[in-house]
Amino acid sequence: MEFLDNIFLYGTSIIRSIITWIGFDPAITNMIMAAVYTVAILVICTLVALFYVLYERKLAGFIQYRPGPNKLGPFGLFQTVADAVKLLTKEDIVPRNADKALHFLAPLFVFIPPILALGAIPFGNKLVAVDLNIGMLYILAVTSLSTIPFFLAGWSSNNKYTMLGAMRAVSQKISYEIPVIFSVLAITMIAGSLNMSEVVGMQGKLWFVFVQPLSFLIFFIAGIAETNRAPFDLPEGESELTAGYLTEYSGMKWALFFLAEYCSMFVFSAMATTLFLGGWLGPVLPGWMWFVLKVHVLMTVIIWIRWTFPRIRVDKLLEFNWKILIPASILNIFATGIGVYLFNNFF
Amino acid sequence: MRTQTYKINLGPQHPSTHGVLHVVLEIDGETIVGSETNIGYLHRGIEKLAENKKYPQVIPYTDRLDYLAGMSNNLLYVQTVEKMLGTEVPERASYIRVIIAELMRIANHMVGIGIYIMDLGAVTGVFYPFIQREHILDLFSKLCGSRMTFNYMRIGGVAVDIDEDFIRGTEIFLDQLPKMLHEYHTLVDENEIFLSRTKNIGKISKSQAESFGLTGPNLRASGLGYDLRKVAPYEVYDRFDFNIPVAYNGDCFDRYIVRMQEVEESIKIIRQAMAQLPQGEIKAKLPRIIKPEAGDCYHQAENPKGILGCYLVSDGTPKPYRVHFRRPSFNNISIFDEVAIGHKIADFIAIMASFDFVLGEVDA
Amino acid sequence: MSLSLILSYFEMINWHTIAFYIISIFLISSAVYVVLTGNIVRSVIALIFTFLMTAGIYFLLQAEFIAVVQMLIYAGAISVLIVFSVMLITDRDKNINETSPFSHNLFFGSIASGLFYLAVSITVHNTSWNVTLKNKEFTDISLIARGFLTENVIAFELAAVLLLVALAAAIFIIKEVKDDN
Repeated sequence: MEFLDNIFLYGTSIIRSIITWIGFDPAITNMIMAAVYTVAILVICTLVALFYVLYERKLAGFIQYRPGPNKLGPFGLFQTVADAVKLLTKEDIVPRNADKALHFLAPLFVFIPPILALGAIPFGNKLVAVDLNIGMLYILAVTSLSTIPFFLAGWSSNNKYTMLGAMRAVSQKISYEIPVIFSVLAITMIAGSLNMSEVVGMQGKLWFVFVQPLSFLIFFIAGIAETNRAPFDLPEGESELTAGYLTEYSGMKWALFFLAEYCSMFVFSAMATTLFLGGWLGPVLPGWMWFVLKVHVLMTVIIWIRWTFPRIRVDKLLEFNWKILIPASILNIFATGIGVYLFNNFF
Repeated sequence: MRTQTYKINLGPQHPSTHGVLHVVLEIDGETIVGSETNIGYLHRGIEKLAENKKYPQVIPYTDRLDYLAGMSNNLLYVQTVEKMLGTEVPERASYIRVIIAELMRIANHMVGIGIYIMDLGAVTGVFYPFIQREHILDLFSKLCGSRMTFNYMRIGGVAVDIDEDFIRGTEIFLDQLPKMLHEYHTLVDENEIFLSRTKNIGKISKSQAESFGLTGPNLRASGLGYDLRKVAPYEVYDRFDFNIPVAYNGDCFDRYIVRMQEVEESIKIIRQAMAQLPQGEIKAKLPRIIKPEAGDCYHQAENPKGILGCYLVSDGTPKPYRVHFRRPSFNNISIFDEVAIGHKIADFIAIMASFDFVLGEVDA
Repeated sequence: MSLSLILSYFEMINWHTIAFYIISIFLISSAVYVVLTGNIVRSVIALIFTFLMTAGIYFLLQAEFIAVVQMLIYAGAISVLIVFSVMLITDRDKNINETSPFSHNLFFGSIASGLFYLAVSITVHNTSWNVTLKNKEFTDISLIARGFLTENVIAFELAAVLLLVALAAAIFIIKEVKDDN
């Protein structure tokens, strides 16, 4: 039990002791360990993308009375791999008047924010690449960068549909960042810390979702919008804008956008788990397993929502944000402030 | 600050134009300020082709008009020829025609509703109705060997008689359909996003609808309960008890709800027709070569998408001199340019989807 | 034998300094690119990169809070505003050196930039840089928060009012455009 709980920590300490045994300087050892963590995060990203692409297709199939991918391997497990191979062999089409350099860079940039964010997320007790003092703020900061690649993709393609998609993406993401930050702020006020591990540690008795249900709801809705998932998938909106900012992308470049969507969904679910659902805390099972389970439940809900709801309209989307989510989150902050003051002074 | 409008080409290759409709939209931000609908990308010259075929040989071509309601097109054409010849259709054939036509109506509305919900972004919405349509197509393919281009109606009757299997299959289908309709209502009707996308979007007034020649569910959603099955009953429609669903707002939501209710009415009609189904011949006695006297004839019927009309001119030879179809989708989409103004792009998609048009019929 | 030689060589290097120079090279070259490129969108992207590299410098100084705020506000928010306005430009392929009204006044432009350079360099020279400051103030957020809400509360509130005014002005300008149409 204890062993299972810390299995990854043992792994890293073994690597560390091997490096020091070879005789490296502590500074260099730290650098090598940083590289190890980076590789671990990249592996997580890849596994998440591969698994959830298949999982979403299977779940969608279940919702729609059809089997989903089931031909390649047991339960169609290798379908995603086969698709990736197919996409790699496809012709890479770049429009003649596109800004070729930016068109090439956009799908690479799109992976940076989720990878950076995963570095500060505690997957278990002490199981975090960099336990930043201001981890929460750091994650918000790096995820706020995710607007840029969508803009780049839309603009560099030199197409009116991609442009509309990019405009939608930028306005949507920058608007929905505010309720996300405000709902995290409410948690910060209760926890009195921006350190992700400390926030989890405080939820031993009561998960913050029960203390801050409204905050969780706002965070969840705004998070779906931030990750461009239905019903807020307007930037892609295939029935309106053909594929939005993705219209001029083909082959592996398109696939990178597609996979990055799952990574950012995972980051967002991991954040919600850490802040509201008690992170790795839970009985019997090892901590990291609890974490993965909670994240999985959230991912399932997001996928379920996608395959149930129609797409919202662009002006209603912004209206919903500015007229409902933001006022509600501000009120929530007020209420939390009063609550924290009363709690500190009278109990 | 100064802003500019710009133009985008919606189609001919676009996921939501149901084929190859081409709409040039002039857009201010995301609001449509001008619209120009271009058609003709699917023109196959069916009317001209028909002039070189004998009368019965035209029937397969009508399948390709509104390819989602081939049976109804078949029916209208053979009715027109019968009207020209003055043929009496045997009673059993007439009942079979009504059953088949109403099944076709259900199948068509299932596609219309499913695609409509899908174009609004809820992809799952397409699957439940399509499963129902699949049951109907299975029945049809057992009956006439084809799922889409049926070629089932014959001048003076129908090609083959329906058997016990077909009747039992239809009964099973009709028994489980209301359950699915109920489920669909609970899934879609009160969905906040669906309501905000469809209520008061693409409003068409009664007078507007009349002046543009709208027919079918699109007309009845605007408050005019005009249905040829009631107004000028053909075949044996006057023997059944059914209602014409009408809605009064003329918006996208009403067009959806009218279709849903029409499916329920169709179930009623089929049940009554199956209960009354008489025995007897399925085809009238006709000469081997059909040669109507010189003259012309116009006939129209209530197809799933609206009033399909056929105008035939005969010069006394076995081949028609001129065939013209009044296609409901063609008239229906003529209102797009007027309705689109002032809406968002997403609304225009909703309006297009709510009209349930088929390009095969628009371009003929 | 040789391995320990290499290792001892590695130990001599100050990794911190190397990281500083790498980031600085990227920072300066991207800043220069912002000014020199003719393509406005590439210029914006280079600007965002400059912001991020600045955040990197802050990270090296162990001022994580300022680094993160730099990313959140400049790279995440301000740049998006610039991006948004850039996106609405119609002459997407024209060189900004031709379209920008500022590049027509070389004389006044050089005077303005010269004055700006002077102001910055005087400030840099006249500040006594307290190098030994242990970055307590930078990292402890509660200190920053307390400062905002006690000593500097007026400046803080004034900034908020300024933002409100800017917001109202933006809405006013947009409203005028809508009324014209």
